[in-house]
Amino acid sequence: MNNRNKVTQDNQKHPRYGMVVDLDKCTGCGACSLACAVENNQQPATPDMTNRTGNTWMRMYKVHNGKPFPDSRAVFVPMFCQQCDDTPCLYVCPQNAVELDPMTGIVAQIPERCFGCRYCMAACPYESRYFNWWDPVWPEGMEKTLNPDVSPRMRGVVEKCNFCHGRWQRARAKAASEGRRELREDEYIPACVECCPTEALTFGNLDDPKSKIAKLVDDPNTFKILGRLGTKPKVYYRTTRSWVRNAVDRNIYSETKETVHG
Amino acid sequence: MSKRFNRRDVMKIVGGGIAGMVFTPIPWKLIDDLSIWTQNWSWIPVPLKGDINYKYSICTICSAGCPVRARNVGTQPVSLWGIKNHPVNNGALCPLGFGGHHLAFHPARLRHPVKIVHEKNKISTEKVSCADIISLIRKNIESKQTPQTGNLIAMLDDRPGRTVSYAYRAFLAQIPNGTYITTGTDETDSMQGLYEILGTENQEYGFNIEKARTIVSFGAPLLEGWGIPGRMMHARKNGCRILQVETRFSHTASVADRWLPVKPGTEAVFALGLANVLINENLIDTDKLSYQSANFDKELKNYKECIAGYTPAYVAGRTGIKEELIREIAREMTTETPSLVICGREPAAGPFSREEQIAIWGLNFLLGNIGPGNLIVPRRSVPAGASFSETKLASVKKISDLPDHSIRVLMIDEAESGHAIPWQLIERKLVADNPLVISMSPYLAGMTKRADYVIPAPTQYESCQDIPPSFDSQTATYAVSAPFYTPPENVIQPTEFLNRLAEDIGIEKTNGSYTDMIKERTAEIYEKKRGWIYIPHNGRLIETADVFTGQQFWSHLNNGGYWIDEPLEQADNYSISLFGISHDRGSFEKALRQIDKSYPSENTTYPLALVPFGWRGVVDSGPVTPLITKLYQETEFRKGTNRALIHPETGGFSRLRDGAQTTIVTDSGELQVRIEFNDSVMPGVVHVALGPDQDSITGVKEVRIKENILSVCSLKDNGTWRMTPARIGTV
Repeated sequence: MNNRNKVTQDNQKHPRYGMVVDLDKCTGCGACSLACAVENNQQPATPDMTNRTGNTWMRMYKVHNGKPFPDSRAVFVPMFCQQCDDTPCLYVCPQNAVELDPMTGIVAQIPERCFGCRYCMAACPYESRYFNWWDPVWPEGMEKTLNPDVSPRMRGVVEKCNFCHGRWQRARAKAASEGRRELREDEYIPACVECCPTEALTFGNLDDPKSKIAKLVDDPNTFKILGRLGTKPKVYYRTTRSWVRNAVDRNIYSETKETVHG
Repeated sequence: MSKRFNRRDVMKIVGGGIAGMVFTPIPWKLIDDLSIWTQNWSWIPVPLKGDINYKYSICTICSAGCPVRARNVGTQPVSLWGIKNHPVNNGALCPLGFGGHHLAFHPARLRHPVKIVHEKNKISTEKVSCADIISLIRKNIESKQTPQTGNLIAMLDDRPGRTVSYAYRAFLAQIPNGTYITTGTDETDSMQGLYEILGTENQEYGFNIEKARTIVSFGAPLLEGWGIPGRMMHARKNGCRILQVETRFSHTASVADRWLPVKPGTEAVFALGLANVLINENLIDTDKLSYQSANFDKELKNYKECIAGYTPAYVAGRTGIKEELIREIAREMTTETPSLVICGREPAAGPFSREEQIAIWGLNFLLGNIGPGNLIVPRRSVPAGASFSETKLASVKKISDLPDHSIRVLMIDEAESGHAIPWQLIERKLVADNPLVISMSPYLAGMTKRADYVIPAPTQYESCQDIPPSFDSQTATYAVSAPFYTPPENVIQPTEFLNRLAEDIGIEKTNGSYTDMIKERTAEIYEKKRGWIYIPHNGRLIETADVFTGQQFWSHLNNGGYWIDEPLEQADNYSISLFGISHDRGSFEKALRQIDKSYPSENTTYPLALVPFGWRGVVDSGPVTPLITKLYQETEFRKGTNRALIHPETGGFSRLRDGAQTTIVTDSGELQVRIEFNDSVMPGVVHVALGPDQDSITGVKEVRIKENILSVCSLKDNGTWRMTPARIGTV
């Protein structure tokens, strides 16, 4: 029985966490990328690291409308693990190193099990998984600034966004100490959501009809990137501009991870 | 019947065993273990363990002064976050701010005074004592130099208004030829045109951004780091419209409501075109404006005549913006109100000239934006502290106003403005014969690499620092960045260095330690009992008058509190002049003609317009968090140094291909760049990125002075370098 089935067979009601990214609000400041790296102990690049070998759980794309000067327009698209319910990376992992957590719906990566075959990277249509090509090394002394809730991953494993799982653990421990089983809506939010200055990111329980995110998901302007693949991502994007929707959905999956042109 | 167990059977068993083993977990387990053994080494770090606690302070990376909440393990910060709903910045932090706690461990960090040895291809350091450096400065101060050979002892401070800035000025006032200078490349300088229009130097002004419904931005990177970034982000979130007047398809232009790509150098012409429409279509409220100028009717008549030639048709031809769109924008400025016009600057491309600034800021007068309760509001200055109010202070000068080859000793303050400063701007002011350059910086990076000696200063969160109001703040504010760390042993606070120097040359020292000076300044603010102090622990605003003692006020500030002044109801007397106080109509018109001629270049040798670009806080080459590679190197979200963006059409004319290595040639030299075709770039223009050096990100073994695009930009006498005629060299 795989992890996905556990979610459906468990009678206990658990949250199913997801996120909505409002592309009309995102200004491409990049704060989410840095906050994610700090929170999750992602190492800085070595001098020979490139945009194809880097490790950026929260990656920013600039998607163009495809029109030349002076009619160019662009939109910034934060791209990270889409936390699919029908999870291609889970199916292909020979090591059971990918887990769909029945308690949260979060797709977790277990580095201790991963032996770096990278099948999951090939399977992920969002290119949101990253291989650790280098030992995680920080400049001398800077290792003291690592987040104590997150272990640095070793070389040779795949890693990705896990909605700041360390924060979930922290929030759950706090709730348990107060005798609660359920978390309040604002009690657990990933680092990128906390730092976004324009509140372009909304996080919450998709199964709670009263939550802000559930209302956003019902909005007709909200869509899933590559929704046609049927992976049932729990990360949604939102825009009122049709060209943005078309350009993002059509082109985010490109052959390189460089700037995407519509 | 018995069968002998022969050699063949042994082989069969071994072979069968090996074949069978493939179907057992053993080989997989071995592969797994092998990968684990080869992945885990002693140098893979283990995070600190200890009590978790939170502390509050203020970021000092740039002059915005954003409040931060540090999550600590014991005394060690492990992450920095904004403070939600903070009245100063609404809780936003920029990407650089998130890595502020990394800077104390930056590989380019210096922990001892050093002499920099400039060799042919690299630079190295030798340890020296602070006394050696002091003795060298003393000798230079005491030597009798003639004015012809240059005799200034100068302090370059790109973040004026801090307590340390007043200490510098007090020190320099006491020594012969002491000169306090700024580069004039920071955002405050972009306000000078406004102050010229207002005819005031002593009255500070800020912006009521939150009230604006439309912002017409001339080159200001509003959504990438301008003023206090959180304010603009908040305004944007609340639906403020942005019309971006900028040649480059910048991040701000990409998401602005309208991108108005004017030809390079024609921003002022575009502003005058808008003014022409506003006046000639009677879109201005003359009754309201007449109160703000002594001779309003005459002033307006003069101005109208001066800009009569800037008709939409003419401006369309010069700027490349359609005539009807110019009219539409001008009308929109009076319908989508209140609308604010901002004269900004691209962080790498340098400031607008004073006359361009006057042309742009003048639109605010026509829109009735200036004065208490409007969008451009007067604010009080923050007192300097009792010691400095009474002390004679050296006046503030701009480096471009000094004669060439006039500085004999240059001391450079460690705090950078976040904006690019071409070294040539400074170099040409130094005497040709053996100048002495001393940097008071924590790092061997940026301008420090050009110095002769370095006094290592404390870095972020290592010492108590004060934060004067950001240039855009609508009221006076004051905060104190409380330290998290103790600085290394041989690190010297710049004021301490000045005191040692003062003692050596026999002049008056400052009172007490640097923290004492800041305390004194705080006491003066407290005595006025005005405004509020924001307490981050509980999110409350307390009236200053309700704080019982000065000590308590200091304690609040030293724990992350932020003092916010009351709005100023009445400004000092001012009378607006649309030509600026230092111009009459004739000289203004002459300057406009000069600006108008600047593009396109008539020089066929250099047919392209070179415009550098970059990101605030990164273009100054100072150290940044090594995690900035997430935006620069591990992704191509921001363009790295010497990446040249050109339109494919421009590339075609030059017979280039995408990704080619080539040279950009200007009158000032040539530079190797990598071409990137981008059809959002204006044809005929080349934008070259100024990004962080590797040594300012993760440090390098061999430190070198690397040439960047600023080395080949034409530096004008007024200290601007916004556009340079260029050509693309041979492939």
